[in-house]
Amino acid sequence: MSARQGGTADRRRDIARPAAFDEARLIDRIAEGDLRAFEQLYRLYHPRLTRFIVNMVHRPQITEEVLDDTMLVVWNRPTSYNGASKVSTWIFAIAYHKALSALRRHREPVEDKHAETRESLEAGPEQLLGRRQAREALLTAMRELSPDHRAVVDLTYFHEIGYREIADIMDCPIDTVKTRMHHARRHLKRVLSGQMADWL
Amino acid sequence: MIEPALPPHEEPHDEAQSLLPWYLTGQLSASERAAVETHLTSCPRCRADVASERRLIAELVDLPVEVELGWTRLRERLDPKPQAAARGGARREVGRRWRAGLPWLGWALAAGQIAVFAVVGQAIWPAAPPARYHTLAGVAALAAGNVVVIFRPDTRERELRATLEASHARVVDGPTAADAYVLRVPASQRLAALATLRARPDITLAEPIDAPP
Repeated sequence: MSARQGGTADRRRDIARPAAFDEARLIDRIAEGDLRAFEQLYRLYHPRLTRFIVNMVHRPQITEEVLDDTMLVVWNRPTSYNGASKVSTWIFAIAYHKALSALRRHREPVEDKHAETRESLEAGPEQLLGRRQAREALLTAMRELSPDHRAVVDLTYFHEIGYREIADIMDCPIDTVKTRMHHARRHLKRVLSGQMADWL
Repeated sequence: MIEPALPPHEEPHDEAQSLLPWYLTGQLSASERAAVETHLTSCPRCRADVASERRLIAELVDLPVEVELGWTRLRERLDPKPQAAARGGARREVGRRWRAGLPWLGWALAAGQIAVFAVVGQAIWPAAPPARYHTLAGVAALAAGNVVVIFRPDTRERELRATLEASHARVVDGPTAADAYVLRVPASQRLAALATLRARPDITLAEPIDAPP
């Protein structure tokens, strides 16, 4: 049995993954002050980081700030990458912590105190006029998740990162990643069961 | 808040359920994948979850993240003065920190902008003011643009990316006030890139903005 769904996986890879590249070598060159190497890395990561940060913070103004702050860390402190993980893990971890800091600065709640008790959306079938509305429901459902839950969903489904690496990025136990994913999936499926049954 | 932990995975079903997201994205070890697949052969509920979750993933991956960004840009045009005042501080700070490390960058960006603006003029930038700040994205402008394009307003990010890849182009500026983007295509492939761009359904305008190579 194949674990992948061809079309979706291909589309996601096209959008999310840069070509095979020796990113660690780029970091070495950045440590030597090579601006072109930094530009190359910036271009590689801009789409992925933008998507990840937007999904976490849901505030475009903060997204730009977090993206720049993340890449400034890469430029200013490249030697803090110790080679023990993938470069992507290091950069996503910086982005994750910068996003959390930004949310706190802007007084946004980071954790979801209602993850356990939230009810599904109440819209009935008469409100579902098609796929567009259903997708809006899914967007709303994602917004209802906490930034931490959204981060796990996005890193897993879009960026195709394994749970161990996500635990490294979020600096938390593996079981916490699985727990967050469990609650996020349950919430999304709860919404989907009422909102998308006609086409899902 | 401390999240309630999941119960220990003593049953193959629970274990398979907890691994399903990473099974579907191909991120499990061989032994984990084998365990999930063994369980799937005997669990109709998990097989049904696989099917529905694949559709969920497809929809999540396809959700347009650019909606928020696009709306904010439009919102700023509708009500520019209060928004500009609120944004200025943080962006200027980022720009200041960036330029502090790269003192020549501001001059390089300014020179590139002057060259582009002189060629294309008011038809493409009817009301574009000079940039008040430069974020890291400004690094791209170091490579001067040689083509200007306008995408159809409903173009999605995936289509835009495909068009850029097909024409071997990089975005070096934009969107401008007229929603135009300045691209850099390899000089030796400029004509071919223009032909490719003009043939794309998501492009409404593609014109060179430098002399032919």
